[in-house]
Amino acid sequence: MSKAAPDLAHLSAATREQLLLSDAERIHIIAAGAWLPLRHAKTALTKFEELLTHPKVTRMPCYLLVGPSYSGKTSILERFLDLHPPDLSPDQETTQCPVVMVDAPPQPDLSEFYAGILDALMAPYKPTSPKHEKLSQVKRLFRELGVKILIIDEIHHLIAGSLNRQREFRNALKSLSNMTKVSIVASGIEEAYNAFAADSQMSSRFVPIEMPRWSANGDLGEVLMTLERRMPLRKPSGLHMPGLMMAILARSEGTLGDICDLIKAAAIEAIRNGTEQISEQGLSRLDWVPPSKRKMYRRAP
Amino acid sequence: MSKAATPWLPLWPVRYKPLADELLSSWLIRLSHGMGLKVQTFCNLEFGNQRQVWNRDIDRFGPSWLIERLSQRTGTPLEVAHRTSLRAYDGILYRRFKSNGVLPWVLRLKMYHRTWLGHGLMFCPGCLAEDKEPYFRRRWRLALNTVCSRHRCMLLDCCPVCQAGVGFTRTDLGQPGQEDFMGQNVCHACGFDLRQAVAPPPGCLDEEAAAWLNQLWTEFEAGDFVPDLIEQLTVFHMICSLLTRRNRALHLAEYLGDRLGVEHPLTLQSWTPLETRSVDERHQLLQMAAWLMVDLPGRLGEARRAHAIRFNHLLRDFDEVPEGYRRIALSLQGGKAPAGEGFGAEHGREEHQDHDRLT
Ligand SMILES: [Zn+2]
Ligand SMILES: [Zn+2]
Repeated sequence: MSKAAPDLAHLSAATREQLLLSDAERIHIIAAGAWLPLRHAKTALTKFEELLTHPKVTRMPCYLLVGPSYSGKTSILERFLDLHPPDLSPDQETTQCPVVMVDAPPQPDLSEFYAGILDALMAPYKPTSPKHEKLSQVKRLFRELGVKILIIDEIHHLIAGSLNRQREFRNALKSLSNMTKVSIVASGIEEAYNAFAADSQMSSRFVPIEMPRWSANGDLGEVLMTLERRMPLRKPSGLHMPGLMMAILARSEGTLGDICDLIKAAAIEAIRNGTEQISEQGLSRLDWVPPSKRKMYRRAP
Repeated sequence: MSKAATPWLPLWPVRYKPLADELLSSWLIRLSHGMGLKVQTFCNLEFGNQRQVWNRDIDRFGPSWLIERLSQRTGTPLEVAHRTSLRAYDGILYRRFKSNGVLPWVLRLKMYHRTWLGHGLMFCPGCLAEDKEPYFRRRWRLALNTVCSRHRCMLLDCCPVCQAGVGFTRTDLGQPGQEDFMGQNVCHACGFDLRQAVAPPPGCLDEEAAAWLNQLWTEFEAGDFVPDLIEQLTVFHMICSLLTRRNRALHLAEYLGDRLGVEHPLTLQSWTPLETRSVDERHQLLQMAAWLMVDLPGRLGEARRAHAIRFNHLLRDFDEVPEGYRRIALSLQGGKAPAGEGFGAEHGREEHQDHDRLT
């Protein structure tokens, strides 16, 4: 290992080339945080992919992606959406839009939910029109635009309402899927899973996909190695080594989103201060609060 | 044609392009329904409540703000969008567009309290039945047209069950809570499926006249609007006006009725312009006028000698008379028609051409 040719085995080929870029450019690449091809995510994507070619049946298969906040659910869903962008070419008679993604409204309000779908489809609609009219517009547009999968992120918002509202919402989801033959992929925290499980029809329909829980084991080691290979730092950090892994887990509190954010922050700091590697000392000096805790932290007196 | 004034707007998710010969109003209806909206809701959302779309004959007026917006939001070239309105016939069917009164060859929509009365739009049940999604054609707004050239049947100009005017209407076709709007093939007044209507074969007063009309229509449909064709349309329209004008000494319609064996010419039932008449009236009237056109100098001369028309009728109230027609009219002043000056007459024209070739 000579100074002229540093050992770059810790980096992927593409990342090695990024070393030629300026510090500012490398920091930008890290902050932009490209998609991480992790095993559990790839498995989920394969399942979603199968929905696209699923024959139209009475009860279309649906999935519920379950996991705590910041566990990376949204980035899997966004990745899937990116893989299937709408065809917006002006020459077409309609936009072809196989995958639509919406956030669940903060309250179980069906009219708002349908409005969110219409917004995602970029359709004109009358905000004040009653929910059944919005629903019929959604149905017509699903047909026109060839929608196959409706992704609903943060579905747990829907369980904020009374049991009656929840039931109304669950029924609406079921009938929307039945009427349009569109598969639904919902994502939410544990409570959403429990709310779905309360309805036997719902729980049989929505197959859960659980996000992995990260602890100091080989799976996490794999994630950390993947992350390291994609960070354009000049020196190896050995993120998967037991000491550093434990430090990362401790500070990030174990959710994937926070792990990634922590490592991003540490890597950017390593470029700025010229150390070019992430170390336990570097982590401990980092002024960093997990995003999941930031609200509480700020609110604290 | 490009106007930079309109800001960029995103494409609509549903951006159907106009179908062959589709009318602006029909296109707008298909677009609204394709997006799951009632036409009026759609127009209010897109154009605001200020700009009323449905209380005017948008096909005749072809408002540029409407056409430009549809072009932009559907990714349709502006020329193609423009062609959906009857304004594309500016300078062809009529010399100058005007917003009031009768526009030559453009059927008049009569509107009363947001519904269309009268016979301003026709349809062919066979054409509607063949459409994947039934739509209305521009040619079904033209007074010149009474027969479907594809199905060789009469066009119909109202619902055969309830006699209501067909086509676009302000009372929306959609039923609330249904994503499937009724197609344009359904009578808005009684729900009858216009595709089921029976269209009779066209009646024929005179073979030659029918052939002349057919030839004119074929040339018109081909869309090659050469000056000859435009002049022919102008003169033909003048002759039709002579048949629908009330004038003490003008008995052209009666005379032609006699000549062609029509006992009670429909055209005599009222003195209204061609453009406000029913398809049956027009069909008879056009044939009578066409019979004259077959040999205009000769047959007008006969009519004059029979005291059905006077010289001064021929030019009165017409502005910008085509030169060929003026010559015919002037030749009738003395009482004799010049030979071989047939205006638009098939035979006359052929002779003329032969003559040219020989010299
Ligand atoms: Zn037809
Ligand atoms: Zn009717």
